[in-house]
Amino acid sequence: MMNEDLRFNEDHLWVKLEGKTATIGVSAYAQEELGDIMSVDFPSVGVKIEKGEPFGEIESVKTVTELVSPITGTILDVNADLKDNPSLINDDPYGDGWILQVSVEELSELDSLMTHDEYEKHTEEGE
Amino acid sequence: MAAIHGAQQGARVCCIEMNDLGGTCLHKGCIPTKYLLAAADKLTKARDMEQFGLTVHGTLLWKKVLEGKDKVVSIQSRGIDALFRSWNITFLKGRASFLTPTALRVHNERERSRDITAQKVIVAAGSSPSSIPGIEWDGQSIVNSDHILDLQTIPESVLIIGAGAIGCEFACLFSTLGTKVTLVEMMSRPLPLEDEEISDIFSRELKKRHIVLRMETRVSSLAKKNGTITARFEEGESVVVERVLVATGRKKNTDGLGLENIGITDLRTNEKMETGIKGIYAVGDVVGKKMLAHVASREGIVAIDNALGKPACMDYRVIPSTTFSTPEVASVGMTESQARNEHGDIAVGRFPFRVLGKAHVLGEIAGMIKVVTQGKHREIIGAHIIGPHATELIHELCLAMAVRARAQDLSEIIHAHPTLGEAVSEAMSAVSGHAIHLPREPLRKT
Repeated sequence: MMNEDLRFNEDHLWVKLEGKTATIGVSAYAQEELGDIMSVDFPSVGVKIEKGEPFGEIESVKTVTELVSPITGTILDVNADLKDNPSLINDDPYGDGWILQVSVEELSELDSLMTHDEYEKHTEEGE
Repeated sequence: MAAIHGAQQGARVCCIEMNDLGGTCLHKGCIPTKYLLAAADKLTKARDMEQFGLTVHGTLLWKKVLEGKDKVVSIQSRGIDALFRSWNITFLKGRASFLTPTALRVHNERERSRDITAQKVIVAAGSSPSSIPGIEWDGQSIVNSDHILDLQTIPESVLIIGAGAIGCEFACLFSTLGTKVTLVEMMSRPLPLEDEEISDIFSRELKKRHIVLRMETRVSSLAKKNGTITARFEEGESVVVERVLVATGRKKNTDGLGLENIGITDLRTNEKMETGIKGIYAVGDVVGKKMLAHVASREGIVAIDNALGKPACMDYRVIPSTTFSTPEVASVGMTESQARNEHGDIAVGRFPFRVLGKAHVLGEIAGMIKVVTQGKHREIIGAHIIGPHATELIHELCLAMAVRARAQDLSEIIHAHPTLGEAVSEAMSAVSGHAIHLPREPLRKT
């Protein structure tokens, strides 16, 4: 996956849009900072998540952090493999470590998210 | 406890018990369940050995586990018997019912009934599993917490009704044994009497163990067919399981005590554990103020002291509560929301185990210690632990509450490194935002 296609929020989640379907995951920077991921908790298919609102939790050896949604939409699919193998996020944050897919309500919501370059700059500057 | 304490004070004591010595705690509760959970814990640790560079291969021999459990119960029961003999306590096997406030009839299936008299009587008849309307157990596929202790085979799937301490302990036990577990609770969270944050962390841990949680719902019907049970939930969904465990609470064993013969209908007590009838005391689950073995023990001591003319009062302020789940949960005093409602001026400190080196060494990093304090002196009025050895760690917090210690008092006590107990002093420091091993609280965006 080309990282240039991704958009990021300040809470270190990425989103990739294909048509009206958005895939959501945790950034490479965040998984690096978190360390070994122990578990990920997220809602099931059919649940609506809201931009800027926590929809789940990620637990690592260091901390437990809320997952704050970069976009509003209804969950179409979830990465069931994460239940048994949450380290997929460490191994491949932009690929096999994806968390969920949603049908996007307002495509314009993506405009306020950061590009890959902007996000890199954001993490270099510190939050 | 009461019988031995009484004999130690010089009283002539007779103890009547319909089963073997030891009561629910030893025969159907604390001890046998803890044995099964200890076996499951050892199994979990064996499976996790690889992280320590060890590989272990083996088979779970369930029958041996059950034999081991029975052996421990038997040893403990015989231990009580030996104590009784050493203190010259008369043990009568049978069911007792009052004839008058100072006379009891003891019924025994094998022998003729006999009548005894006593100047003072302490009723400690205990409790039994209770069901909910429409859900009846058959002792085979639909069972209660008594039946399930002797389950001869490990079920493939189980539905547990009730996510209190008993339900949650069995949920963890069965999930470790490889059973697919569904846990249903009418309240909004598992361990609903614990602090909300503790329940949240506990929910996450149960989900990590692949336990399916169905909160805020009830089972509306159970239908048995071809060796399986279909459980239907209030909202219409259903689940098919091999067994159902009903863990919805316990009822007081007041039937058959002959209370009608002494003119009372219940065993309500005052702070001296004395009932409405002078000279008759009641303690433990049959009173039901707190259905915990350690509360019953203390009530028994208080009752005996009063019965023998040494005034004593029961104090319920500092009572530890423990759940031997995975991870363990323990608490004393008020939850954060109870404290907020009662006092308003509270401050809370939290310290996660995952920050401690010792937790990483043990490979058990989930959970935290949370302390609730009140007033400008930050007196400790509640403490809540979820994590490794929570049920042991809680006692330092009980002592702190008993002496009305302030958070600062405990934070200044040197705790050995590296231990899990370091989390206690760090949680106390966190009350004022000064836990050494926690980053500064981020400035919240508004």
